[in-house]
Amino acid sequence: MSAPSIAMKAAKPVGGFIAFTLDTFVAIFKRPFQWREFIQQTWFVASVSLGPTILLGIPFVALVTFQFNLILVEIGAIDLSGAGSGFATITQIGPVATTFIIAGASSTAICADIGARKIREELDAMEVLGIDVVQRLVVPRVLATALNAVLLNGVMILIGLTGGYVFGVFLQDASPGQYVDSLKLLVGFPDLIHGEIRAVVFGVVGALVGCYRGMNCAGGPRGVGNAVNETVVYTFLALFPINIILTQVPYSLGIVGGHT
Amino acid sequence: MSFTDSSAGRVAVKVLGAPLRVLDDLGQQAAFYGSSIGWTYKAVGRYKKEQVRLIAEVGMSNGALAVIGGSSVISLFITLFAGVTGGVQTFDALKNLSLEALGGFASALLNPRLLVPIVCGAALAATVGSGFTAQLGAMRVSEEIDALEVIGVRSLPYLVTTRLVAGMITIIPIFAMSMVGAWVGWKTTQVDFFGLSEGTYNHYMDTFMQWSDILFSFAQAIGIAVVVILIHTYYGYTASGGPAGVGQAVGKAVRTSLIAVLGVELCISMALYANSDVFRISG
Repeated sequence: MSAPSIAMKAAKPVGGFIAFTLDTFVAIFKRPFQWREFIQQTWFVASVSLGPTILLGIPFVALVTFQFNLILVEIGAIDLSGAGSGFATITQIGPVATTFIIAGASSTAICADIGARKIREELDAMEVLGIDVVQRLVVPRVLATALNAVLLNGVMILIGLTGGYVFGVFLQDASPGQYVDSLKLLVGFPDLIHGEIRAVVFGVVGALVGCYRGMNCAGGPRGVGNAVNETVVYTFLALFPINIILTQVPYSLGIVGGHT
Repeated sequence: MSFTDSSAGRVAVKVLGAPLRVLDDLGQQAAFYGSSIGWTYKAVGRYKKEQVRLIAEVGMSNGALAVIGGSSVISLFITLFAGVTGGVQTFDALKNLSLEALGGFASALLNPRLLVPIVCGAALAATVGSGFTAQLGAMRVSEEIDALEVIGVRSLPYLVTTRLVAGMITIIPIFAMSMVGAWVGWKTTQVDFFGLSEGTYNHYMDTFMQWSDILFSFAQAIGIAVVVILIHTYYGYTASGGPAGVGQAVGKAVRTSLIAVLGVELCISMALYANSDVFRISG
């Protein structure tokens, strides 16, 4: 395959995705808003994501806290374990674990759902009836995932701080009072808002990728499977760079950080 | 009249049967994992051609993912960006304590112990693992697996064990690339973007880099590869419900394996690092 044709092959879906994103943002402001679908989808996304969030959160947090406390014990500063736990959880673990959940649980479920409708030709039938698929199906899913991302990030932070306490105090001999006292040493309220805003963006992007790939999946048994597979990969590929940009820009602007 | 005829009886059977069904499912998974590992000698000895083809496929992927470089390049890309994020975040945190010179220390410590195993495990589940679920699921619902059995080929070693072996072999280069990606991202951020002195960075990096950490993290990588591939092939091999069922199987497999990746990592790192006393910082 020659280089230009590879570039063409890669550029076409990207362009399609951008057009789809713009369509979705326009459709958000179209009335009537699909409240019933929105509530059902919020419940659906929550039901597929909450279990994995809790089960993934506990080992994730335990892993980070455990390694961090090992260093603190080594330099004789285990009393600072609260500071490390608060900083790691609120600034990165919460949003990054939310990324994992959005990519692995929410957007795959959305893609499998939309892909199944696509191959059963339900989407074509809706178009024939004059129903805008983007407004009826995509917008509620995108908003539902964004709402869920905020809540899941909250759950993750809660698990993080509690898990850090259990690990630090009960297993690695930090003092409970010092743990709670030093929680706010490195982070503050702006960092929490910063994490939540990132979570909203991750939720929107994840749902958009899932919907787009589901609506464009090929027929046959391999089509939907491949669509879901590519959804996970593209969501990861998109969310990590977005995370950097959204992490660095507020630091550069001086909105967060600087708690000394 | 049987007990299940009344609706209350049916509910009781459903509720009381739930733990048994969970146990049933776990037992089936365990049997599947056991026999697919047990067939290794046959897969390696008998199906050499298929084995080599799969190794190439795992490294490079096929279809749309191959256009953007396959699973190895995707993992490299993701860990590179994860490394940049780590560099940004730790630099800011250390700056609050006026300790930004220790950026190299954080990089030498956090990359092999935490960042690369977690991120590379997720990337492996996303690329290689869910690709397997999609392939095997498609084969199952289009009855290709049954056809294999009919013509006298045992499908488990031919399809599952070969994939397991291919994953074990290719995880090493993929993981090595991920590790390099994370370090390059981290160093570029702190040295080239934030103006940390390169000599300082290298000094702390060299001082605190432990070869044992790198070996341990490869042990984690192999553990992750085995778990991810077994889970994903199981969900693909047992997919049902037509094309839509394949999509659901992929989603379910990704959810399960992300949890398993973190669980395995926690177990391995607690086992390997719990009593390690390699840092001689305070004398």
